[in-house]
Amino acid sequence: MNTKQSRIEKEPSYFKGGSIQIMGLPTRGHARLVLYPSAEHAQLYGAMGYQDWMQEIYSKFRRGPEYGEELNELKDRVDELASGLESVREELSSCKECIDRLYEEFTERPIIKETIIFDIDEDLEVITPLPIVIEESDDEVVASFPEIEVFAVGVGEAEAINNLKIQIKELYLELVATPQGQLGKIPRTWRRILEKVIRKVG
Amino acid sequence: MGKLSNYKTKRVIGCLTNKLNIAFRSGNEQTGWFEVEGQKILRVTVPKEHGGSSGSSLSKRVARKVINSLRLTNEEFDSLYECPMSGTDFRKKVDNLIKSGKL
Repeated sequence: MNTKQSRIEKEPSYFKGGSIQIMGLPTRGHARLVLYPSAEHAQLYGAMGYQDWMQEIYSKFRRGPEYGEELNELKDRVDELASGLESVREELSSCKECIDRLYEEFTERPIIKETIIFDIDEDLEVITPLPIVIEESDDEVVASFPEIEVFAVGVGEAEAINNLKIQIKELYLELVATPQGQLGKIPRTWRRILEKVIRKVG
Repeated sequence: MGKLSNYKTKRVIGCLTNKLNIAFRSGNEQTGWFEVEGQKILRVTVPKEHGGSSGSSLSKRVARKVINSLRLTNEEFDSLYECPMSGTDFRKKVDNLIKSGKL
């Protein structure tokens, strides 16, 4: 019978410091492997007996890889949750941005009303009353005639409307004084609209 | 359309004058034309400062009207205001709008 004994230097820890004895029985065609405990486990071995100790070591040894798989699964799930959380965080951030913008627009929302002007200037006659839009906020009032993209600003409604009338008059006089060829598509449309609703007096 | 920035009235006027060669006529409001080969294409109005808490900045409502009158998006106007968009870039955009029959 050939016997060889080696000290176990590597993990797992419960073998480390112990030794392994391989007893070969060439005539029978097989070998016997005996584990000797480390100094740390020797006490345990003494208390529980060799078989139980081996059982304990063996069960630990077997459970190791199973825990590894479970740990890997757990790690994958944690990674998955982390990436999910990241996308939730991004969505929340974009929602917050939208809410901030809506809140800002809501709080700064002007009072919008429509009114009609029947008069612009003593030099101009209003053929058809002009529908205008008044946007009132804390700071200013904006009066506009959206059809011809003209607007004016004032501290109050009356000032804004007066300024708008001046703007309409200036635009009308400028457009009728400019040869058609020097007007682009949009200004030509404005001119047509203005000629239908106002005209020079006299 | 993105969020509207805070635009200073004087800087807007300077930007439109220098980059787009818009000559603003001083009246109760400052108005000017963007011209292409002697033809009036777009009219822009930048109100004078009327006081109020906004001071020398355009209110968001007015800024939106200025931007719309130039047929720009908020981002494009930001680019014009903050410098990256040159007068040539704006001219290209207007040329495209003219070609497509929108102006």
